[in-house]
Parts: sequence; C-alpha cells; structure tokens
Amino acid sequence: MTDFPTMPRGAQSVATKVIGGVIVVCVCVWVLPSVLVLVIGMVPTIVAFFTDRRREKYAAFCVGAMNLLGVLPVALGMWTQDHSMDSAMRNVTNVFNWFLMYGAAAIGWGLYSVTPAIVAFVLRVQIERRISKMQGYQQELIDEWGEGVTDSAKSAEEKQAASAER
Amino acid sequence: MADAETNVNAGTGAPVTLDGRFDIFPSSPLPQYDSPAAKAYLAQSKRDADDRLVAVRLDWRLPPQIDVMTNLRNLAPTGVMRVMEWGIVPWAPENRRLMVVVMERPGGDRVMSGPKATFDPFDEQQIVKGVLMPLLAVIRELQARGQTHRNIRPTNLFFTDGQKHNVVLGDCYTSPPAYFQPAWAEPIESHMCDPAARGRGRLFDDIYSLGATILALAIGRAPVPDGDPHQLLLNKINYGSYAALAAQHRVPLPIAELLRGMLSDDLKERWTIREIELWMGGRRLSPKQPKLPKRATRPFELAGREYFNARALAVGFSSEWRSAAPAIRGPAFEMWLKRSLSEESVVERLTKLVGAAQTKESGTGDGERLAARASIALDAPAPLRFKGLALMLDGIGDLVATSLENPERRQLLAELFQARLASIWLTGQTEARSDTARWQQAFDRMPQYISSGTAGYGIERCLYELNAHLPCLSPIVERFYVTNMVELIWALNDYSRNPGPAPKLIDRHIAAFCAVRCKQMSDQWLRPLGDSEQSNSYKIGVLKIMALVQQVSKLEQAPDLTKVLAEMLQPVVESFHNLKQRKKMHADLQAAGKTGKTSELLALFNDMQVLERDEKAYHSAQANYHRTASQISLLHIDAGNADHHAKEMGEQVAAIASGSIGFLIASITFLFYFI
Repeated sequence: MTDFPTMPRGAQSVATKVIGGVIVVCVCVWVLPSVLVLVIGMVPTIVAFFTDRRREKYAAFCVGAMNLLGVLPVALGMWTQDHSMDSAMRNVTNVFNWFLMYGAAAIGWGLYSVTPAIVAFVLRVQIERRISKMQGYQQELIDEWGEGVTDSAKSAEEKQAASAER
Repeated sequence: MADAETNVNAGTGAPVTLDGRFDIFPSSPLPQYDSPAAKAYLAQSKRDADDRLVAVRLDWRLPPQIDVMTNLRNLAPTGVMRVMEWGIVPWAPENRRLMVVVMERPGGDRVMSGPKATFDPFDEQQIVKGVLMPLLAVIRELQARGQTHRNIRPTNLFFTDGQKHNVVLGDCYTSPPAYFQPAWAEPIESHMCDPAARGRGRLFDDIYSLGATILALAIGRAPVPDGDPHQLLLNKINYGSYAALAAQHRVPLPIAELLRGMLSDDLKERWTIREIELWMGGRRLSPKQPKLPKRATRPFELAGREYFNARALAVGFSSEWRSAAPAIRGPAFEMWLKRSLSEESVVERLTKLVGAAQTKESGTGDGERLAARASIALDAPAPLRFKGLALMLDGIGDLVATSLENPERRQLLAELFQARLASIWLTGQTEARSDTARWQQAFDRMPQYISSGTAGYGIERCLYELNAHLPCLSPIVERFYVTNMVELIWALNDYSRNPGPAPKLIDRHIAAFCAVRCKQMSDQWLRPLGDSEQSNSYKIGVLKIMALVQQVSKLEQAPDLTKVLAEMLQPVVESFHNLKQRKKMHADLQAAGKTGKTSELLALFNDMQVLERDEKAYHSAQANYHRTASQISLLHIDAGNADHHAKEMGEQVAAIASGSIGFLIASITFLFYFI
C-alpha cells in the first residue's frame, strides 16, 4: 500500500484556527446587527468584568445577568421583526432601550452592592443569638452550681486546699 | 463510832440514795474507814435504821472490781466487811457521778492505823480465835467462789468491837488487787511485780499475806517498816521469806511454826487451809527448813552485784536490763550456768526460750527482749519482766489503767505489747494454767491496736479491752461515769448542752470505749476517724458512730446531741456544689436536727456517693462552663470577621440571586415572544 503524505501537527493546529476564525467572522458578519446591540448594550457588564479584581468575577456575573436581561427584549425584537443594521442602529440609539439595558445593569450593580450588607446583618444576628444562647447556658450553670463553677478546675482545687488548711 | 452520828447531824449536804435502799451522806465522812484509794462516808439503810453501814467512794480512774463485789455480796462468813450494794450515784460535792460501795461497818477501829504505826501485840489465843478463825473462813469461802482477797494486811483489819478480840477484813474492791499491799506482805512473785500489776493471784497468795499479817500482829508492828524493797526481795529469795521477815523478831514458837508454813516460798510446801486448821486443832509439826533456790558455787557478777542463784539473777536481769543482754551473750554466763549453777532445767528452758536470740543482736530492742526471755527462763513463776516493768498477765489491765497519765509508762507498755512476750512467758511456765489460751488471745491482739495511731486504737483500746468494767475516761464524759452505750449517749447529750466553741464528740477514749463495748462496731466504723477532723469523711464517720451508739442504746431522744451533730455537719452540706441540693439539704438538716434522733441525720448522709456524684457533676459543669466560654470567645472573633465573611458570601449570594432571577425572567421573556 502506498502511504499518504500527512501534515505536521503544528500546521494542523494553525489550519484549524484559521478555519474557525473564518467561520466566526462569517457568523459575525451574518449576525452583525445583533452583535452591535449586544456589544453596546452590554457595556456595563464589560466594565464590571474589567473593574472586578476578584478571580471569581461575581460582580461581572451579577451585573451581566441583569444586563443581559435588559438587552434580551431588544435583541428578541430584532430577531423576530427586522434583523438589520438599520434596526440595530435604531435600537441602540433609542433612549428607552438604553434605559432598559443600563437600568437592568444598574439593578445588577445594586444587587451586588446591597447583598453583602444584608448577609453581614444576617450573620451578625445569627452569631449574637448563639452567643446569647450560650451565655444563657452559662447563667444556668451558675444558678445551679454557684459562682464557683466559673473557676477553673485548678483554682477550685487551690481554694479547696486553702479552706481545708483553715 | 459516835463521831459518825455527830457527823450526820453536822452534815449540810443532802443524802445520796443508792438503789432506793441506802442513803449515803457525802457531808459525813468517816475517815477511819478510808482506803488508800477510796474515801468513806456514813451510809444508812432505809429499811433498817439499826444497820451499821459505811459507803466508800471509788476512785473513778481505777478499774472497779465488779467481779469481786459480786462474789462478796452474799458472803456468809462474818470475817470481812460484807458488801451490801454498789452502784453509780451523783456526787454533788465533785459535780460528777461516782461508783460507791455500801458495806457493813465494823464495830471497832482499824488494827494498825498506818504503815509505821505500832499497836499491842496479839497473843497466840487472840491470833487463833480472833484472827485466823474468822479470816480463814473468809478465804475458804472466797476460794469456793474462785476468788481471792489480795488485800490482807494489818492496816486493812478492823476490830469487830471495842474489846479488840476479833478482827474483820477490810475491803478488797476499792483498788486493783494488792495495789496497796506492802512488799513484805506479798509473796516473792507478787513482790517482784509493779504494785498495780500483781493480778488476782491465787489462794496461796492470800495465805502468804495472812501469814505476814499474823507476824505483824504478833510483834505489834510491820516486820520491815523501812528498808529497800529490792534488798528485801533479794533477802526473801536468798534466805527465804520467813528468815527475811521474822528472823529478827521474837515470835512465840507455835506461831513461828505457823509462819514457817504460811510464808514458805515453795508453793508445794506452803500450808493450805487444811494444814492451818490442823495446826489450829493442836497438831504440831516439826519445823521445816525453808527450801531455798540452788546456790551456785561461784557468783555471777552483773553491774557490780553478785548473784548466787537463778532467781536472784533473773531479778538482776530485770533491774539491770540495760547491761543484761551483753552479759547473757557473753561466754561467762553460759559457763556459770553449766559449771557453777548446774541446774539442768534452767539450761533447758534457756535453750528453748532464748535459743538463737542469744547469739547476736539483730535490731533495736533485741537486748531488752533477750533480757526478758532470759528472766523467764531463769525464773518461770516470776512475773513477766521487761525494761523494769514486772507484771502478772492478769494484772496488765490494772497496770495500763494506772499508767495512762504517765507518758513514759505508756511508751513502755506499748513496747511491751509489741515485743509479744506474753506468749513466751506462757510457754515458759512449768505449771499448767487454765487461762493460757485466754491471755494468749488477749495479748496477740494488742500489738495491732498499739501500732495504729487512729482514734479507736492505741493504748486506749488496750485499756478498755483489758478492763471490762472501767468507765470511759474521756475528759468529755468522765464526770458522768459512763459504763455503757446508754450512759454514753446520755452523757454526750448533756455535754452537748454547752459544748463550747469547737465541740468534739469523739476523742481517743470515746472511740476506743465504743470499739470495745459496742459489739456491732467493727473496724470500718473507726476508719474515718483517721481522716482530718475538718474533712467530710471524718464528720460523717462521727455521725455514723453516734447513730450506731444511739441505736444500740435504744435511747430514742438525744435532742442536744443531735443539734450539735447537725451544726457539725453544716460544712458537709456547704460542700455540696449543687445549690438546689445544698438548699434542700440545709432544710432537711435543720429538720432532722430537731428530731433528737441521730439516725434521721444519718439518713441524709448515708449515701456517700451523693457527694461523689455532686463533685463529679460539679467538675463536669465547670468544664462545660469553660468550654462554652471558649465557644463564645470564638463567636466574638467570628462577629469581628463577619463583614469580611459577609462580603464574600454576599457576592456569591448576589451572583446566584442575579443569575437565578435573570434565568427566570429570560425564560418568561422567551416564552412570551415565541409562544
């Protein structure tokens, strides 16, 4: 049998990337109106992504989810009615849409900002309740056994020895 | 005796009634009937005013001779002051209870008013009819009852009337047997003894004392009023008692024959009652030469003194006990025994009793024990001798009682008990004794008691073990003359009315007294008394003993004692950590303290595990408290870090919430557009 000539592994990878890039460019050109709306509408998310220094990117995720919710009606309107650059331009220049998209992102920001405070409050209440419960238990021990129960075992023994000596 | 009646009238104190039958007048002393250890007072019978009676007040520190009094109560012969009754009565002048003995009062004075007094010598007729006849009848009757008098001496004889023909014997129950007998009136073995430890003795001892008394009566004074008792003892041993006592006096020949028989140092040759009666009946025997101990050819020298026979050397070992051991271990002693003394029986006994102990000293006190063993071997019938002490085994109780206030004697007695010499002495006896097992058992227990320092043991325990009738000598109750558990509870209750700032209900005497007289009390009851007096175990131990004693006494009410016990137990209640239980115990203790029953108090403390459980639970509570405190500290730290945690968690929560809301609304939006 005759062996077919094969391409080297590096050349294969480059080819794959080129083919993928061409496909993406084609798709972008095809969905350019949607991309335009998404890029402009998702600016708060992009900003959040870059300003959030945490690895987990909770801020970007939080703002992004809400922001996407604001962009989604605009994008859906285009997809179901007129998916053209004109329509895209109209939508991105519409103040109401801006309000919708950025307002949703603001809600995301708000959620991101307020939640830690709420959680902190809840945590503090929880800890205080536990401390209070434990102090109540300690008080019960004192009521049952007297102030001596607060002494350490060693100091109790020392007291006992002292009283025995007396 | 007219002075007696005068004294009654002069007396201001109220009479004390004994057994509802006799009135005793503490304000009417009759000093002419005093014994060395007992004062005499006028007594009257309530039934027969013509009875001539005298009551003697016994020294509460000396063991009362209850057995002797019991035997003398219904004694038929008239030759002794007969006991009418005895008992414990309140004695107002001394603010205490005392034992008194009511007895017949003789019609005449004391024959010999004091140890050095002189009086008109008795003639042969007077001695036979006035002395021997009545006194022999008494001795015979006592012998029939297994009893001895042991107080036969001229100073204890009274004339029956003013004519001074007949005499009666005085008491023999106001002091330990032969305690106040002069050394000359006692046979050699008893002479060697400590006066308190002469023991009840035997008939032969009474006969010897009677012989010595007759000698004194015949010469009108004590045969040897002055002089060294030790030298007198050696004279008795070396020359015989008759020679030592009577040789220097002019005694009628028939009386001399009687005295030779009665003062014989050999028990086999000493006259019996029968032989004396034969002599009284007119039978005359040729005078016997006294049987003296075998004399060695050469003397044995000890501490600068020469000894010619085994018995005298035993006395030497006893008095010079410090230098005895080296002498016994030295070659001169063995050589003297074998070559000079040549008494096979003594050598055999020495080998048996001393044996290997003779060869070398192996520890402290060995020398003294060796001297004691050698003394027993050299002179078996002699008393047990140890470090200067000499005692008959049945005199040990009286010896302990009279030595109690002398620390040196107490120490000596402790060493004696620990040396376990009684069994050696019993082994060394050549004559069969019926009481060997009894004394063996009694002495075997003593070292255990002596070696324990706890209350309930020690010399006090020995004291009560060896003196069955001795009252409790505790300073707390001694004025109540306590002889049993009923009286003890009664006395302690009285003491508890005004017990002082730090009441102590059980001291060493009371503990030992209870241990001996309360049969239900075993060692486990006494064990807590070894703990500190401040400890709960000690206080509960005292309560347990008191409860047992009250139960045994069947005395239902002891309110003051119970109150003091309740106060004593307050610290025990305070030691309960659990406040609720402590409060309940306080209330229960107060209530039980008012019942007058110590058993009610004991019911509160009977379960010692309650205290242990309380202690454990308290430690557990302490551990829980500190564990909780640690957890609270951790929570405080958590609270300090709450903002940091909350930020991280809040961001997560915000992200999840945002994602969830977004997904939900997006789904609804999609549905709205496409359906």
